[in-house]
Amino acid sequence: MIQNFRNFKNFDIFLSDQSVIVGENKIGKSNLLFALRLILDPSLPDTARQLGLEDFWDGLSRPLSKEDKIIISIELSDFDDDDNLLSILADCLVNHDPMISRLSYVFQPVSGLADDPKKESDYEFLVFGGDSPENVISYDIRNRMPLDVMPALRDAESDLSNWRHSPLKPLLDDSSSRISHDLLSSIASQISAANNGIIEVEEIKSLSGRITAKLEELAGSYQAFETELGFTPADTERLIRSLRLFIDNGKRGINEASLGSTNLLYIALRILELEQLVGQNKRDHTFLAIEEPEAHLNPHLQRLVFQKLLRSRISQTEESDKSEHSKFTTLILTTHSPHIVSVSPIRSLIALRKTIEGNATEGVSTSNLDLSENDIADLERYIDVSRGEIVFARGILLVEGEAELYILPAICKLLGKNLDELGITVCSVHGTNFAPYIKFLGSKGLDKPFAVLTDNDPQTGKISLGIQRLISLLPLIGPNEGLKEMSPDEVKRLGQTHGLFLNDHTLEIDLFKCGQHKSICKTLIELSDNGAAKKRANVWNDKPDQLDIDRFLKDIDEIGKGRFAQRLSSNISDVPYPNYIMSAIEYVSKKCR
Amino acid sequence: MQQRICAKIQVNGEHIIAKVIVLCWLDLAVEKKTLTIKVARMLAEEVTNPRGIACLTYNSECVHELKRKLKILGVQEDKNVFIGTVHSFCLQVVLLPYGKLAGVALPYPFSVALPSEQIKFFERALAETVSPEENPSPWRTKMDYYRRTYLDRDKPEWQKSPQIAALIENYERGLRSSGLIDFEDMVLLGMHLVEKEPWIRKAVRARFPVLVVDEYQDLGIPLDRIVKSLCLNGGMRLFAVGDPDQSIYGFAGAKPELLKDLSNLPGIEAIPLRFNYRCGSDIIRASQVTLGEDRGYKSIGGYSGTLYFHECPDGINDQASQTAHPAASCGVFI
Repeated sequence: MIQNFRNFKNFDIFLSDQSVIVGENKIGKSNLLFALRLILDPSLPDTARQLGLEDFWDGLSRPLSKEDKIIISIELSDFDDDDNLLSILADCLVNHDPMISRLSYVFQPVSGLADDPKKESDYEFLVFGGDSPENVISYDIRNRMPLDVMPALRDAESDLSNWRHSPLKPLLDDSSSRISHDLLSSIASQISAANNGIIEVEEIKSLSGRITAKLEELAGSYQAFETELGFTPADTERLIRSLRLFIDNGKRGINEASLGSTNLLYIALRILELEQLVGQNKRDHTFLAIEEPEAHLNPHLQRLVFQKLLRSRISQTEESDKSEHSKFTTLILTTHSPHIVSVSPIRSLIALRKTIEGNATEGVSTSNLDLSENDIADLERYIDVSRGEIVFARGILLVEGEAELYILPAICKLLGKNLDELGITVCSVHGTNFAPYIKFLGSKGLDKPFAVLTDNDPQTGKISLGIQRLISLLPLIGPNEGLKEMSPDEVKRLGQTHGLFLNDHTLEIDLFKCGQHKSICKTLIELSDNGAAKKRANVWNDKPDQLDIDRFLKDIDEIGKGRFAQRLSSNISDVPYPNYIMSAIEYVSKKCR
Repeated sequence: MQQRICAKIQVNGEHIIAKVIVLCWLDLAVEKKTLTIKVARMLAEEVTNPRGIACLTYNSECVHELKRKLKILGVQEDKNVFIGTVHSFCLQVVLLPYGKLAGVALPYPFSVALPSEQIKFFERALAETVSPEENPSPWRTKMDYYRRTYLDRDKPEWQKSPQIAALIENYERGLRSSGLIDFEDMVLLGMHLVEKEPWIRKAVRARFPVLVVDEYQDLGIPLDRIVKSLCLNGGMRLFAVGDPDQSIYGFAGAKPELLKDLSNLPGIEAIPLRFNYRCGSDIIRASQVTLGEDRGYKSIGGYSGTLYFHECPDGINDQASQTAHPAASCGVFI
């Protein structure tokens, strides 16, 4: 929970053990990570924890009053099976069944301040566990369960080539601690011998002599220093540090690698380091945040790498302990990449967006979606194939099939609405299984404006399939009482107020009947190889009231619904469109404001 | 004269070793050495960060002494090493972190009553429930004894003396109204929490998988119940040291027999220490005669020692004054 901090007025979000955070630029993704760092990052100095007046949410009226505080708190659960974590978090419990511990950061006027605070020095920060500010969270808690952030503007290349920042350093340190000193000394002396060998070569020797001489000439003998050429320092400790990673069979150094490879290597080394720290009992849990992990990786690599990283937990149940790190890691990614979103587990998505008032950021999370394993698999496949389109969209039109995918954008265009500009995506569920999509987009999921366009599919002597569909879908959106007692018309109207739009028959028939019969018959004639069908189309073109519905649908099926709709979308004309389509477009675009 | 009882307790199929070392007044040094070395070894080999060990002992002098001895072995009091009295354990490890969450009816935040505040509320309670004319001192002793003896207020025994029970309840109400608790409250509230709430035992065990108790014989019923709850019921390992012959705090609620009872519990295997490093064999023999039972203690020094007999013809008062005389030497006063 974040209050009054930068973009956040009153922000609350549920993060699961894997979170993929999406949102437009400047919505506050980095600020969210910084808020977590204030509590959890052991490498953040206290001078950075002392925030400034500009860090208060902009919507607060200035000057700030004594009551205005920045409060950031995180609540952790599911740690009580791990004795180490429980031992760290036991003193911070705020609930015992289930066990939940809270860690908080508060930036507030110093206690005992008589007047309203005026300057930054009137403020202090506290980081504490549970609900008592005296229970200070110390460095050792942060150190046992730290937040590691790989920032968006990381310079993987320079970090890799600088010993002090290199993610290779802790790994080499650990490995070298297990090498016997004798072995190291013997290698060092061999290197020393090789060094001497090359130095003694006359041409080399004279070069270093010339360098030293030039230094002396420039700086005088007193300030100049000896130089010597060689491969690498030959004492045992520096020997290890001077090891470098090479690529392409040792021919090229990292600085010659592509940015993509360098970033990939960087991420791999950091994860190895995490595994090592857990293995050495230096820490019990890691919150690993990677900002824009897509940086410099081509789409295929993004998908490959993050598919492994994000889904490893699922496969892990079978291949036990294969990836140690995931058991002890909470992974947080912030991304703009559809490729990463497309491989994200369905319950890991977090979307940040502006509140209705427009002056703060709110977040929605899919972590608590009530979906069956099959629904999840279906949705994940859809998001994978569509490259996460509905996650990035501002509004969604859910439709039954391919035909609508062609027709709807065409109609919108003729209505003067550009779906791309509005951020509206048409999503086909390939059938009528709308429920998982509704849950995913509904208020307990991504909470985005959406409309469902579905066929009435009348049945003789029985209540239509479309009405039955509405009765089963409406409870997912809100009303679930008395639906069975309502008349079909009442259900249809109720559906409309909640974004479920039903036609009279099916898309093609409704289009035909609303006044598009000429463009439809034109399309039939253009595409059909069947002379009788062409003839029928000519008749219906002139006498639309003679339409034989069954025959008409069969003729379209012969061509193929998709193929038919594809062509129809260019033939469709500027006359009225079916009401349910107009209303659905209106409904979603109004909410996308 | 030493006795060691090693105890193994089977909990959920997991071997948990509880060691209860029972030693005697003649060889305190060995007892302490065993305890401190054991703590240092467990921290070095078995109990790893961030988990730790809690060491309990009788009073703040004992705490100080234990801290000093452990420091020599490199064990510093830390977030994962608790060294303190039963009172501070109950307050810091149980009541402060979990009391509010468990719904203990206290004014939060509470503080600990100063002796003067205790006297104030006690005297007020005495005046209200008994009479303003009473001499507070004997009543205070009675109250303290009663509170330490009858621990469960929902049981009939609590009403054994309705007058004292009412006095105690009145006194405690007084403290609470001023946001206070006293030392006895810490232990009683801590004990009830540990016994009642499995999640508290789980949390305490996560922080301190090992509980070390020194001077077990002096710690009284509440500690005994806390230990049984945490170790027998909560899966903590116990390492306890004590000497039933040595208790000098009977007036404060100490019950040396609790140590023996603990070591006799089902599933506990007892191994007494038999070697004495400080006394000659004659002194050990004479002591066993005095105790009235043969404990099988053996001297290790290889010398017999010398017994001096002092005759005290005027009975117990004479014994007392001769023993206390500054010029008195060691010996047997008969």
